Amino acid sequence: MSARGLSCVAEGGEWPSADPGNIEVTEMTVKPSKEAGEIMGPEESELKAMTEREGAANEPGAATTAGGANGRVAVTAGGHEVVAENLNAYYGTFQAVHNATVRFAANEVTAIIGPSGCGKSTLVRCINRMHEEIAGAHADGSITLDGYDIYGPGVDVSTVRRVIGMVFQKANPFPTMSVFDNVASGLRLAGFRRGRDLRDRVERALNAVGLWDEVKDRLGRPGIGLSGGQQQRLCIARTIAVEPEVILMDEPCSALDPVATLKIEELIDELKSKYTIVIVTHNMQQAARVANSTLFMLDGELVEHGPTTEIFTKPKDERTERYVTGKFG
Amino acid sequence: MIETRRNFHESLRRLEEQTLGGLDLVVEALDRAVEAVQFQDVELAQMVTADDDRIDGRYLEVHQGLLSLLARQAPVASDLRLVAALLHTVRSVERMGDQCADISKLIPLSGFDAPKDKEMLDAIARMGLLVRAEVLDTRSSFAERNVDIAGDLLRQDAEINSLNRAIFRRAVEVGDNPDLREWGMFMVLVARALERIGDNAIEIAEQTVFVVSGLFREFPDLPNTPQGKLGE
Repeated sequence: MSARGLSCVAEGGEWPSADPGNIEVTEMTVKPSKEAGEIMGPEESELKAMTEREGAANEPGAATTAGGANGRVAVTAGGHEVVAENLNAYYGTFQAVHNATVRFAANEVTAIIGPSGCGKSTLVRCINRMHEEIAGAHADGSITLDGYDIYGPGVDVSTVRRVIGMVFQKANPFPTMSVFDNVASGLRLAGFRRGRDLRDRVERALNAVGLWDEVKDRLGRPGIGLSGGQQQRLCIARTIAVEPEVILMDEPCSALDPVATLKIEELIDELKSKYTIVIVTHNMQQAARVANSTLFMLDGELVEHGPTTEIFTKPKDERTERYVTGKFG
Repeated sequence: MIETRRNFHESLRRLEEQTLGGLDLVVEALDRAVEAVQFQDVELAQMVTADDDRIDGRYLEVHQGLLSLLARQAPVASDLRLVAALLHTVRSVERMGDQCADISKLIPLSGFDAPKDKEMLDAIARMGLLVRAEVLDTRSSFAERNVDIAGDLLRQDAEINSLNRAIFRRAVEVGDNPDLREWGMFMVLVARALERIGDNAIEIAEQTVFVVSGLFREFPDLPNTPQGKLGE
């Protein structure tokens, strides 16, 4: 694995305020690649910027001087591809994922299906290095984002997780924070302290998930006061506010009612134009509805990966056929 | 291995049985219709016409069942292919029933004492036997998921089409007797109906191929099939 980018650390600073009213002053911490105060556009790539800073990052102290969240440079618009190669994931001595090689195509939704315990959540958690947070868990092999090894030496894990955001099964808004602060929290950690830009970004994120009109009059109220579906969309807004390249979703609708589920699915369809999305789901119809491609896992192995239509009409592997038709489970 | 959708698969199996059972009804109607033509049996023909309601009822029953399965069970993969194929197949069954009824409705029109032409009647009888075999073969092909049987239907269908054309030619040449010519025109329509039943059998065989392979190809495009329909 080559050590590329990702070693830069976002010097986010203090934990965000619960008061959404402080929006007057924009404070940038580090601006290594662009002119002071220049605002990154949604098409800009954290990863590319970090790559360009690679040389500086290798210098003593570079991480603290070059790693600001605003240290981004423009790259060409386009999707971001995640590739896992020969990936093995373990919980202690138990191997949960076996020699997985798979490409998650840019600007597509890839659904991972399979019975409980097949390793699909583990695989997803490896993609943004959350797997290693579990005591005794580790992984080997390679995962790259646009060719950059996210497990490379010196790669900053928190940056990986900002570039590769994650939405969980249960909506998890920060319980003590307002709606506004829930979305702003990641931005503040990334260096946006306050100001119109912060507010615009929060509004843009809430709009992107179709939540703005529903919450614009109660931005200062607790996020946990929203309905379950709204909370999940709030969490998605929090994820996309920091403009990740990839969004991972682990059973994002399993706790939602059908209407909220359909809203999330519509949202996924809209988000894929900007993000690469990987979704773990037990709901095969959901996979059929939202995913461009579907990956079937069984006992830690990748059994079949193909266009969703093909997987659900004419799978190649007999095990896939038996699983999707309910002939074992 | 645990079968997790037993009720669903049982329902699907029953719907397939009902669909293929519809072909048994078609064979029964076909036998009677051809017999009614041979013996100018108007009463038998009227029974065939009345019994077409059974085939129509079977179509509605299966169609509703399949829609219910689609709505409630969201079948996928081979199950989805089977549901789609059954929707096509049961429609073909219903059309075959209509063709039998159409043949039967021609019999009173052709007159009780109309002069007949033995060559045409023999050809109709031969067509009836071939179409009957074709319907039974397409049933077996579907039930057994046997693509080879499905492919062999083309050979049978070619002979049916050939007879259809022969009957048409004979009707043109049958003579100057107006009653005989009129009867001959009715036999052309009977032959056309039989030929259509054969075509429906071919369409069901194409669905067999779809269930097995997931691919839909009209049979004349399949490799190693010597020819298409001759009557077109």
